[in-house]
Amino acid sequence: MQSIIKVNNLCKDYTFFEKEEGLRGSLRSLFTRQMQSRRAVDDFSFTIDNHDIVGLIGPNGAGKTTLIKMLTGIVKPTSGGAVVLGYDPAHAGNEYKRRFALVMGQKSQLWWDLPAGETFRLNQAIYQIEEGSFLKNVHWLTELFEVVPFLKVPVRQLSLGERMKMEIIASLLHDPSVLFLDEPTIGLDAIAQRQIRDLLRQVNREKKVTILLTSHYMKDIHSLCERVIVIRQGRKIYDGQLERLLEQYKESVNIHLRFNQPTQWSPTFSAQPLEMDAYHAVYQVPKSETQRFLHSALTACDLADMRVEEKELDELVETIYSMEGETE
Amino acid sequence: MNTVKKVGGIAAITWKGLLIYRADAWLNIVFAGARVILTFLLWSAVFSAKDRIGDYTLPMMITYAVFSTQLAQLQHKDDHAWQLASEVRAGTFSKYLVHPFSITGHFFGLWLGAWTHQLLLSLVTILVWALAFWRYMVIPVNADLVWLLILVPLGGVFMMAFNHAVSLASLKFTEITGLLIFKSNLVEFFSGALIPLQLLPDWFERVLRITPFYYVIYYPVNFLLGAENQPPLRACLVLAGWTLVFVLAARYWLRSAHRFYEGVGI
Repeated sequence: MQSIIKVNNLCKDYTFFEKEEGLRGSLRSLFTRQMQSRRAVDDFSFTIDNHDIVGLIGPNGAGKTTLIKMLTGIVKPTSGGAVVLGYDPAHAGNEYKRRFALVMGQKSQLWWDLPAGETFRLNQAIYQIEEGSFLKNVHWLTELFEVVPFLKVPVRQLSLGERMKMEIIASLLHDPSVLFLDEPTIGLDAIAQRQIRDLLRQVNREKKVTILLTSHYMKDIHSLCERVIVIRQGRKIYDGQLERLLEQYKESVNIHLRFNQPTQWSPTFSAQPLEMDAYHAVYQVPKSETQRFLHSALTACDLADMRVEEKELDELVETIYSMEGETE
Repeated sequence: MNTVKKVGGIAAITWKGLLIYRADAWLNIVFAGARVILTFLLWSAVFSAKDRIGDYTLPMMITYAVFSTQLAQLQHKDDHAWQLASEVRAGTFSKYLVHPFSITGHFFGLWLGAWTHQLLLSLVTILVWALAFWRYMVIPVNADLVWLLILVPLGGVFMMAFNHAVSLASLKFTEITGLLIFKSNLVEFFSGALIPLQLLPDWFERVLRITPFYYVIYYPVNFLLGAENQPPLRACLVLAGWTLVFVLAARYWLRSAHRFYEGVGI
């Protein structure tokens, strides 16, 4: 498969000033300021193949959005470089801009007071989309996203979910080869999130669009991306299969036991009790010991029920974010 | 051709935006003449004790006031400059950087939509005023007035380029509200929108003649009144020259100031 995004040792430093607290600090800052520099993205390299959906995940302030801003030419890197679709985003012109699209979950490109259809028409002019192709895309996407009844409703009167669907439609009208999505499901309810995920999957499949997605909702990442890149404090700490990453961190499971009669049972090996009363107990058990623990519990106790619970996806990611060093 | 289509698309959507709120759209139409009526009352009171002020009779002054107030509303359209500055501050300016169209072209489209909308309002206001108060209108009709069809749009384009170049300072300084207000006050004074420049000292008026602001409002209105002896071609050349200066300045500034933009807020 051909790599269409190649990032080499990309770095970005931001400068900012620190203001002392209080009115005195405000007055002083009129005359003198302590400028600071912060590295938002540090020596970042990766490649993405054509038609892939890759998740870029990391805690707040990790550098995800900065990375997307550099790949779309919004900000210029301090050092290093990138090649997207054969163009250097830092110096590329309109030819490159016609081949990608950017959707920012927190910022709208739609005209707030007008129906989304008006923004679609404006994008037709800006991206020079032929009438036939424009109408075909509008028809396909509005049917797919089930927003036909809202095409004549002013954007400000749409729900958040409907608005986000319109944002994505507006960004896909010119048939981009690469779609950068920055938190596309932020603030949406579970149903809208699932719809957006399903639609993106379909767009990727049918339009062969390569997608780079950032999201704090692990369900988005889990359902859409086979591959993830984990970023923390501007540095890449993992790049590979999502399942492999999760497996690596599923080192323990929680086992719930319910007893038929009052029981006080202590397993002899390394299981850690999390909750315990006469009829109920929860143990955290190393994954390698699960079978031995279950066998022991079945032998020693009069069990009414038992349940093995793996760590929640979000819990796992929290662990990954807090780990030191690079994850293999 | 493609650029024209893009600018036209942006101007058209700006028009649609201006017409979407019915109450506001109608109030704009109804009250467009309010400033004209207040100006009429003011100058009538001033002329009650005098026949002439400077070279102006009351009908000349009223005609000057009517045209200059409408022309000022037209030429001082700087919503695009305020929008650019606020979008830089909010980080939403990023959306223009990913569109396959120049930033200046985009804001030119926004300005063109707002300017043509105001032009229509001003023409209607002047027409209604001229029909209602024809006794106070002094318009010498001659073939030279055709120059106004070039001068007025050229003045508008100059003001767009000037305001755009100033607003790009937000890329470096982020918050430029003070600068934009100061700029508006200076332009209003230097362009003769507040008072006829003839009432100012001669040396000052002579200095202003090498600036473009002289030709944005004061010159076209006096030309209309037949009170201007500078050739219109010179006025057009001065405006075109200064427009080119500010277009190039905006282009240079946009390229070099892009590095300051961090898209904070997205």
